[in-house]
Amino acid sequence: MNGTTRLENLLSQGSWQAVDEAQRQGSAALPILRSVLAHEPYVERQIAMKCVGRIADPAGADILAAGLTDTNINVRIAAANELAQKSYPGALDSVLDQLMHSPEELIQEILALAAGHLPSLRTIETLRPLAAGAGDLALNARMALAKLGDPAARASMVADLAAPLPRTRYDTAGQLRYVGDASLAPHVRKLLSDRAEAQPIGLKHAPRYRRVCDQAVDTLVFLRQLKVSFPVNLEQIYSEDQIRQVEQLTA
Amino acid sequence: MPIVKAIHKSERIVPVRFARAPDANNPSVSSGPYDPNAPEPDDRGFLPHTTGGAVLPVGLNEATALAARPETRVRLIREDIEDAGALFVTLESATAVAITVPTPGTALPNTREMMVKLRAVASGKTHLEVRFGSTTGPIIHRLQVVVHPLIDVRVAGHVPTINGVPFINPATLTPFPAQSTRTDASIRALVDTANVIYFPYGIRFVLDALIDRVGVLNNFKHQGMVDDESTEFNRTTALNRVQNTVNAYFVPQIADGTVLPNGTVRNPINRTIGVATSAKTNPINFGLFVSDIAASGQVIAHELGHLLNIVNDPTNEFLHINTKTDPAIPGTGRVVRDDIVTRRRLMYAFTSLRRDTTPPTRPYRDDVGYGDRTVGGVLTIKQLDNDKTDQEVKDVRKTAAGLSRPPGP
Repeated sequence: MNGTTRLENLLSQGSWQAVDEAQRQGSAALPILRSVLAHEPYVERQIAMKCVGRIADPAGADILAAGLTDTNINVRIAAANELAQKSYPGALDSVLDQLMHSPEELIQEILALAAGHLPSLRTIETLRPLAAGAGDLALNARMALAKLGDPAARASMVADLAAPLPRTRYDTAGQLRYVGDASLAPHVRKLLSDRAEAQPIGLKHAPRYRRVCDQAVDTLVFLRQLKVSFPVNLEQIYSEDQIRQVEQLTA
Repeated sequence: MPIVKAIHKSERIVPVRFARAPDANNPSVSSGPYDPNAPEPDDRGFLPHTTGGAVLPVGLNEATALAARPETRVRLIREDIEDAGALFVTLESATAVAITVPTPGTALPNTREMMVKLRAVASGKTHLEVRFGSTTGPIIHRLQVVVHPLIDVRVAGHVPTINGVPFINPATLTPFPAQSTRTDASIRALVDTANVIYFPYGIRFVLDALIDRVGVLNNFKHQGMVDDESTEFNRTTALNRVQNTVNAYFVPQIADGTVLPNGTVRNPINRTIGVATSAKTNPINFGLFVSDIAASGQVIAHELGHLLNIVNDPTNEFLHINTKTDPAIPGTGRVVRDDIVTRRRLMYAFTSLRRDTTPPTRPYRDDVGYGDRTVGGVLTIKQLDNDKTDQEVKDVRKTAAGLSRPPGP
């Protein structure tokens, strides 16, 4: 069985192994994935969106753009999620259109993050009014604007790093990984001394607490591409030695 | 308008109100089991002004043809308006739902309780309006309707064999078995009940066709038991784990059972029915555990709520919607409210309602609309300014949508 047939079979079976197969085939798989848009079972179309995201070729933008207006929300979400991971310039019109007009706030929120990967004057003009409001859509629009270099949005996020509520400082430090600009690292570095408990993890009835400094470690390692001697992930509560190591590496 | 009400100084007039409709045909029935087509309106107050009243969640399976979609029902109850008053229902916009009962253009019956049925058309929001006199008469009440298309959440079921020192069950004087005694059918039945509860909120848990029964966990403290407060939790969730999926583990006991020197028992047997960690805050090891003592699908629905990141209190005070963290009361925490609206909510801390035993008893607290001493399945839609446990639907849908992508900010 050749790769094309194998991918077609996996898609028709609704198997998520199709995502790995598509990755193996790379951009050559895009025509097959494009043809899946006409298939009736929505699971096939949903998996096709994941496949395009795994291939990560901007030439697959039209497939993801079509996914945004699919008749099934699982396909729409899959398309939006992939568009929020990296830049697909060919999907700019669709992203901005659905960002403004999707009946689902959930999709709009994801697409605000997708817009942050698509620098253009139109993107900025679309995001600015959304960022002025309250709620998750406004927050994501501000993050996208910050990623696109908007000074006011960046200043707003930097200000939130000093917010009174620990959770706000914690969340903002995490959001700076999406913004992805190493020049913001000095602002985050100040939080390495912030030991306030911010986010319960683990069991509700026996929680452990991630502190603001734990999130700062994650973000600094990401932004500065630091090589540290310990595992880094969102469930770690770091020791004093580990935090000190990050302080020294970012000094 | 035929409202007859004695008024001294001032009085709030409530001509009509909406309520859950447990029975598909009889609008006088006020209590009944969980039903995907009988959602509970979030009727906590009149705010925000954009909503103006209660909010009704409606589930939508977009893969089902319009004519085959089930009807969602809600009762309209006359409070201060006379039964003789002619009432009509209309829609602000017909893009999200269509009215199927009463027949469009006809008046509601002249009874105290009336049935209204809707069919989901498309994702979106609208208002169901109650008009007096005719379909163009004045609007005397309205209900916001929010249509939620179904987001699929994949569930990988596991029934692991847990090897360790046998622990004698005092009830049977035999050791707990190494593996859950649940059948595939009973596991599917639990998930089915969770789906009944979550349908109006647009979440569907899709259990894999094959339930994994081959996984083996060795060197646990006790046979057939997972001590969720130890590393055994993460060791279990790593077993045959499927990424970006709800991994659900069905085990005989979630406990440790060790007797401490002071005579107390750490993490006792037969206490923890289910447990789960949030996929949002524990993106690597999140998981769901259900013990063999869990009898109701409401348990799995509740724990799936935790997995989908509720309660999400930014100040970290609330453990459940009715309990707050208190170091003096480890575990479930301190009960801070127990009103009948709280008792209807899925994230209520307890699996059944405590009956009033001291006279005067209050039977309306024992049955809050789902049967005797049965906790409801409500997730909140509204955001009330001073409630830190609100917007549960938004949280669960957001977490569900994020489950198919890698963890990130």
